[in-house]
Amino acid sequence: MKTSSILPDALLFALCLACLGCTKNLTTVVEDKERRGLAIFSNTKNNLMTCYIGATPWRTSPRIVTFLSGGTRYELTVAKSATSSALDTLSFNWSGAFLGNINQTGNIGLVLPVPKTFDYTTFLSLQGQRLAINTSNGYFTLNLVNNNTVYGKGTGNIYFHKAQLDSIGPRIYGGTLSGIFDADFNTIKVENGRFDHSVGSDVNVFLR
Amino acid sequence: MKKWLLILPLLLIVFGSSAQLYIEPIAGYGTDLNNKLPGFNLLVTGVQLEKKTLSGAGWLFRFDVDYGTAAKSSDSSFTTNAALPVFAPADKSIRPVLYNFSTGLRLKAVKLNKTNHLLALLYAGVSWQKFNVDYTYRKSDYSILNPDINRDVLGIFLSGGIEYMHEYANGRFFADALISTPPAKKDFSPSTFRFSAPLTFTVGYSFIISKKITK
Repeated sequence: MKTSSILPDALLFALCLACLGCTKNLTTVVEDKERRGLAIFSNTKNNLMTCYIGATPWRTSPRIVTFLSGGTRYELTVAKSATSSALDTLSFNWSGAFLGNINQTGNIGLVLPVPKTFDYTTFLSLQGQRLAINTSNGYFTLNLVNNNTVYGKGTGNIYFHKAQLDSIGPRIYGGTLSGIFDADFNTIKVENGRFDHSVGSDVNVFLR
Repeated sequence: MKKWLLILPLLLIVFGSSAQLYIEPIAGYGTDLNNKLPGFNLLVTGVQLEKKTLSGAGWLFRFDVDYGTAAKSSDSSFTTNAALPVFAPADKSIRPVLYNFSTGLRLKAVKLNKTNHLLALLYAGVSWQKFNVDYTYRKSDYSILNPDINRDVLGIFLSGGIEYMHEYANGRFFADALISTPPAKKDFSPSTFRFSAPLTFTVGYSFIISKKITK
């Protein structure tokens, strides 16, 4: 009698535990046959960035959604930070690892000065822009965690093919970010970078 | 290669010695109903065997290769190199090749006169479709946005159509119009093209290779 009353609760508990472990990968990788290890340049919200760091393929971590707990691990974060100068900064940060060696993690970033009025409506101003980054108008960052190496400010070029955030509710917005870039850190180069993400105000874009 | 050897017993069963047999080279033209790309045409070449029965129906065993002409178009490529224009077109060429292996039935539909007939054709088989994509662009500097990639698929297909046939003393001339389904396989990859569903117009000639007929 006691067993039968416990059984439904036990099954429900087991089901909850199973669901807690359920995840979904929101990253789509379409291999570029001409550049080994890289994904194609796309604007279809594949949620990844790939590039060569010193000729070795590097890829952002997959975007993973965990059910019930509701958490999402993002491969890209975009944040606007207030400064005491005339301009604020907009920073992009990609986290990932060398292909075939997921323990060799790291981060690639871009910091751009933006007006203090910069918000999701002016995010669109980046679209179609090719920027030559020379450290006076922004800089790239590179941090290879397992090498304990933080490189200095990098120069380079970035082209934003798509940079769009649309309002989809009160203080909620979502959109697309895609493009290509190269960066030079003197001792190491980041080449053939191509990125394609769905972005939104929920977690991975902070434009306050 | 060994998989193809499994077909031999099937051939022996279907085209056994006590049958009226024809061998029929086929050639023609095809267009792809599943793709609207300009220049997507097919040159059809093949051969089939027919085992004629007393009822007048014929069992067919067909192998054909459809060579596609190159469908040419243009995609967009972009560069970060400040010395070059940010955008440049990338010339694209998609060339399909289809290998079809099928068995079917040839059924007499209308007898126009003693030597001229209209027939119905039904086939079921396996199609291996390959699409080769080539781009011409400045690869060292530019990246193509959403490029097509080489693709291939192996799947079951069905086809059907009509045939006009004229009988001669020692052979038969025929002209076919056939519509085929694309291979039955889910298409996941993002592409500007889909797997082919050909509409073909072919002509052929039946050479008799055995006059015996099944009792």
